[in-house]
Amino acid sequence: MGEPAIWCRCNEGEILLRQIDGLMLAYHRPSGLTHMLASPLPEIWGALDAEPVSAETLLERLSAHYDLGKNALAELTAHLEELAALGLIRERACATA
Amino acid sequence: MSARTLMALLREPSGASGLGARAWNGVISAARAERLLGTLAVRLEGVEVPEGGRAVLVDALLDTEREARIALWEADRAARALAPLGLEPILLKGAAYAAAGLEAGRGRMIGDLDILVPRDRLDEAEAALLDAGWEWVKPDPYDDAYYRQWMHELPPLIHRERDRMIDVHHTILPLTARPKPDAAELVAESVGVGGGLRVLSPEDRVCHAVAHLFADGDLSGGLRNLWDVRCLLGEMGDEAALERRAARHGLGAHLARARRLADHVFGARGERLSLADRLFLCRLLARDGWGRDGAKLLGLAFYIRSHVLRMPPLMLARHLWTKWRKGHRPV
Amino acid sequence: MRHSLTLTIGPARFRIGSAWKEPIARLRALYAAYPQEEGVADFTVRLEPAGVGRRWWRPSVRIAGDHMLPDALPMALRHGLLAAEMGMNLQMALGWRRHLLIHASSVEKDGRALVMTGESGSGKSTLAALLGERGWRFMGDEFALIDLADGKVHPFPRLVSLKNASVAAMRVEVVDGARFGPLMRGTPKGDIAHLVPPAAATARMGEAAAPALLLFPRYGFARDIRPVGQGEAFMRLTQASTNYVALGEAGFETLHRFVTGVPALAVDYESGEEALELIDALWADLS
Repeated sequence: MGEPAIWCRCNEGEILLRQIDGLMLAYHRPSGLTHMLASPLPEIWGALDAEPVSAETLLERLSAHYDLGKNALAELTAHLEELAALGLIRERACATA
Repeated sequence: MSARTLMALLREPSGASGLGARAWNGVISAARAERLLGTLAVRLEGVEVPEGGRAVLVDALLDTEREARIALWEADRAARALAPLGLEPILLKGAAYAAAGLEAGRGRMIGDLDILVPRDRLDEAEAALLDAGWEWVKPDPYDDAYYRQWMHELPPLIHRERDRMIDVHHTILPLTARPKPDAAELVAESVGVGGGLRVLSPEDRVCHAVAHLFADGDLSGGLRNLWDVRCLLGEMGDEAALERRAARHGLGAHLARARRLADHVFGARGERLSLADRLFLCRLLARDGWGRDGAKLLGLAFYIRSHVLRMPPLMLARHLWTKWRKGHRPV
Repeated sequence: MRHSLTLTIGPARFRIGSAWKEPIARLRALYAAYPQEEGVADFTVRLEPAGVGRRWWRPSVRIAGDHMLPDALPMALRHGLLAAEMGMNLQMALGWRRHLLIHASSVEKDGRALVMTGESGSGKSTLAALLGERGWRFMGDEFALIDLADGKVHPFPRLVSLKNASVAAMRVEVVDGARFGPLMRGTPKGDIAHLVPPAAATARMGEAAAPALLLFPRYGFARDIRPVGQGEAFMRLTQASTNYVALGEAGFETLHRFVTGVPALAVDYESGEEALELIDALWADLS
């Protein structure tokens, strides 16, 4: 548990995405649940890819496009955990599996 | 009686092509009531069915496929919640059959997720699940105390966002039941299926299905449980190991009866049935062509019997009284 | 069961069994224009005595069948027709998988469908019944069935269930008294009478129509029209659908296509006439 978590979007086949009115609708096949994602979740999701990265690296990527506040890393980590709990992204475990 | 037609079709699917609409409607209703419609749909793949019948079967298959997918996701979430404890949940019943790709899982309705954890880790597991978003379903203190004191599982938990239930077991029969399965052995012999999940050993899977069929519950829905037993026995390699295992769990006689009934209902009918077996058979095949339980009185007798099996008589009286006062009737 | 009937409404066939003669006789008569030949049913509904002896003594109907609510309260036999209708609705709500099912009324004109959804009391049922008498084809007052492949609306034109004041309102509209079922007073939903849909509704109940407008009507509020965003429409329709979750990916795709392809408006109104006038104007704007 001591290692820093890394995150990825290596489960893309499990998710179906649709845009409506500037919102992102995500249908998660394994759970059968629909999620309506509001900013900044779609942006975070979009900045990830299949290659696992740390929250710090992701923060650098996002900073290139967005003006992020002081607590950016803590907030980003909370959002990543939220997305992972929904199954929309994965944390380290699947990268090695 | 339609449960008998259902039984005949599960045994020999080709009989479906000869059925008229009326008989077919009876089979569908009986199968729905017994939660065997998806199983029937799997058995009847490629067999000619009366016009209009295929659509009903396709619907049922889609439902069970979705159920299995969601059950595996719930299992995955439970594994994630328990992983920090170094604990891998052992899946039971439907979710286990789906995770292990067993025949019993094909077309089976799953519903709640059942998992087994070692009894001495129960409190930790409960805390971890509560922490991961599950919460208590039953607000009733009597029920809660009853579960904790006498049952083989925690009171059911429901996930507050996903709205799915999980039953956390520490053994496969209530503590008050006469057979005392060796829970530590169940855990020790369990096998990993990947993704941080485990299932019981092949022998223990049969033992659990048999225990579930007779000792736990009032035998309503027993036809589906008997189908599970039939499928699990069919995929069983070492028969001698199974006998030893059942004896160890105190389920030897149960296994023998389940074998005879499964053989009679779904198999070659090579074994003679005892008088008591025939009573069980009547109960199992009581569903009529409108999906009604045709043996209400017999059902009540079995309900009382199931409680006698689980609880000593005084406790039973107290329990039934508390239940009845609250308006619960076993119908 | 002693008495039974097979009934086809839109794409669904029901087998209804009853311990009593009256509910079946009523259904047979009110659904005279619908196919009633025996065949493989999608659903079975049972009207059975709620307890031992309750077939004769203070007869009480339990609504049962393939899909049941465990704690549904039994109903008086004089409300048996309502029990049968509720039983059929319950089967559809819990068991139908061949369309996305939205709790909504629908009517059709020029090959295009108007879908109206809202809570009980929004007036969606009465509005559909009124429109059905005034040049629109009535498609259903309870469920709109959205095709999973092409997004069209399929009719489910069961009897219209008129409640309380709507009964009198429709008696003014429909001259033919034979189209009304008995007035059932004091049901759990108030006073109820059923209305047989116009002949065109039954004759064309296999005919789907592409949705052109989605309304969220609200009765009893000062006249107002507001656009409803796609996100809000999506949310509200998932709540108005009884099988969205059960359909999984197909439901998601179908609902997404629906909300992105069909304009949605919330409409407040104070009288039936006002609503009809609003609907006519909105419909004219579309083309």
